[in-house]
Amino acid sequence: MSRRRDFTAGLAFLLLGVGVCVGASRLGFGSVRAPEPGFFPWLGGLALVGLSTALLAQAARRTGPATGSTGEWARPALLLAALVLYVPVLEPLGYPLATAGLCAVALRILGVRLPVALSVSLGLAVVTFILFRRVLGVELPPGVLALLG
Amino acid sequence: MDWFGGLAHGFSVALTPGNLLYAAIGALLGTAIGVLPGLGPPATIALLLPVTYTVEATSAVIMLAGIFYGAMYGGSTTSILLNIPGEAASVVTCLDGYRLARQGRAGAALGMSAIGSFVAGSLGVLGVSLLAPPLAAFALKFGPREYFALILLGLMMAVYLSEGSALKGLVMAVTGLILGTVGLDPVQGAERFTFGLPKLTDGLDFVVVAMGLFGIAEVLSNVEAPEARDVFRTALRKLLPTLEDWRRCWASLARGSLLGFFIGVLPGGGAVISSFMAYAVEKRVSRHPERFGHGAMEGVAAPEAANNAAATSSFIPLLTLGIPGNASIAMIFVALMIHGIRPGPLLLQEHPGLFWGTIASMYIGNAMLLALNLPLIGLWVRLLNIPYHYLAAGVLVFCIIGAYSVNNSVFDVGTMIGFGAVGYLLRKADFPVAPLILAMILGPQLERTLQQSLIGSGGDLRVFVEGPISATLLVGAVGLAVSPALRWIWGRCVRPRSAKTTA
Repeated sequence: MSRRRDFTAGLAFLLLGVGVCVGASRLGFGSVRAPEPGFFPWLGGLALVGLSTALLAQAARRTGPATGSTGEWARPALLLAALVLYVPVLEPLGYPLATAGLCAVALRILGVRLPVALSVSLGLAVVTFILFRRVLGVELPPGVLALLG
Repeated sequence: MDWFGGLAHGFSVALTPGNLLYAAIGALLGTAIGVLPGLGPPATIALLLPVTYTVEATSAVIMLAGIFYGAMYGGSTTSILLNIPGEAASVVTCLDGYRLARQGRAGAALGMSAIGSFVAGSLGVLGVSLLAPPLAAFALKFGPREYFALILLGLMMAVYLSEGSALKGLVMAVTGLILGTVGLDPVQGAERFTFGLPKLTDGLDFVVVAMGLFGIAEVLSNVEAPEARDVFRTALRKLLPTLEDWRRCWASLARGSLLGFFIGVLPGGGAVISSFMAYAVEKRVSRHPERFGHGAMEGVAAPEAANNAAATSSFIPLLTLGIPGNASIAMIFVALMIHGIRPGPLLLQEHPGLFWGTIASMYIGNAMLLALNLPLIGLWVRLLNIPYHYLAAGVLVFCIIGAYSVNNSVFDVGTMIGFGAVGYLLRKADFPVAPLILAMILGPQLERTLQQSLIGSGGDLRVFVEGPISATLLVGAVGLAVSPALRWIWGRCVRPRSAKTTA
């Protein structure tokens, strides 16, 4: 647990709390007698502002290293990038191709050799596509496969 | 329907071939994910929620419940043989279990763990079947203010009993409450925090959020540093503990079962805390506490009994009050909601088959687990030879299919990935995720009961303290909420002063 990490988290939650308070006040607070849609979120936002301020104060007071162990960030960051990229290509490319690509990237990140990663990914994507479509009736996007009929 | 009649009805439901199959699938799957480190019961239940769409509600709950208590059996295997807990509730089993394995007593430790789990699970089920009906009848007297106070207390306990800092737990619970407000306001129907996106009008989907926070985040955390597994190779003969083991452990099993049962009933309490507490209690009451940590059989028996009893009894608040006490039970709550069933005191009256069927299936499931676990321990250990990368790819694929199938929408896949990234960052910063998901699920009910209480009383805040039940529950909730602040004041002001005085 590092000071900087807690400080960043505290700041993020403070911003979220302020944003929620602003959004909730636009919805209308009403009164205790007749609460309006913004009443409950406003209370939540206010509580979050208070709690995140306490978190910031705690992080500022704590002595110790500013940063903790960052661990291995590269692999999760790469996988996350692949996941983010997956969303816009899922429908145009279709589930089997897009998912095979994503799994191949994930397996490569985890150190699997490229030919193995490619074959396992393609197998996994195709088998799950057929299984879920045929057996469980889940309509996964076919994408380019639809062009092939 | 009386207790006996109810249970007989439950067995008639649970013993149908279909439900027996679902109980077996749940128990097997639970044991498997319990054995495999890096995939916990909430993530697995979240992953399987879409599969239950096409299954009847009772069968779905029977299967998901099997995963939850099955994981408690499986978790001890890796703790004993690898010194790696398969899931959090078996962390403490490593201390003595692995030592016993090193001393050549792995078989006896695994046997004690499986039999202890069975005894505790069965006692837990008996307790649930005895306690749940009167509690449900009592909860029928609850009005909005009692429910408001109860939910608040439940959330506070979830925060207080979660791992790590209580302040961070509170931040998570409040964030969950805010996320629960996305969509239409429950009273007036106004759109809130939808940013003009029609997909958000119905609110954030629990299944999608849970898959992100548990499934995707777990994969992201695990790819960071793929673990090295070193299975301790030992002859797994003599799976039955010796008479001397039984003489030493019978009281530990009883204490662990009892403690686990009562902790499991508390909202926020669960298998993890109960196993740690049971270990601490055993060490304290033992005449030879120095044996603990060096291969004491009681150190395996008590926590394993406690985590199983707690897993079983944590169904009580769900089935009787409609309050999920931990993340796994929250996922089962979501499964019921998907099938249009509202868990709570009316569940026993409206769906007696589901209520008693689930309880009876737990008896059967526990027996199945004992029968499956002891002879198949070799197979479970072999499961650990599956490299993590293939498991990770499988989890990713299941998460994607699950999120997409909720509404056949790519938007949900994107939301899940977003929550996966958030969940990963929250883990990195040591924020507990369970209070967030519980608060998100309970938030709409908390808001509705708050508004109903306020409107009903004409805005008089005293309404919450006028009723004895709501007043007692609120005092508990407020006490828990301010306890971190009080501890801080005590640490800063009172203790240094008294230290100075003594000096």
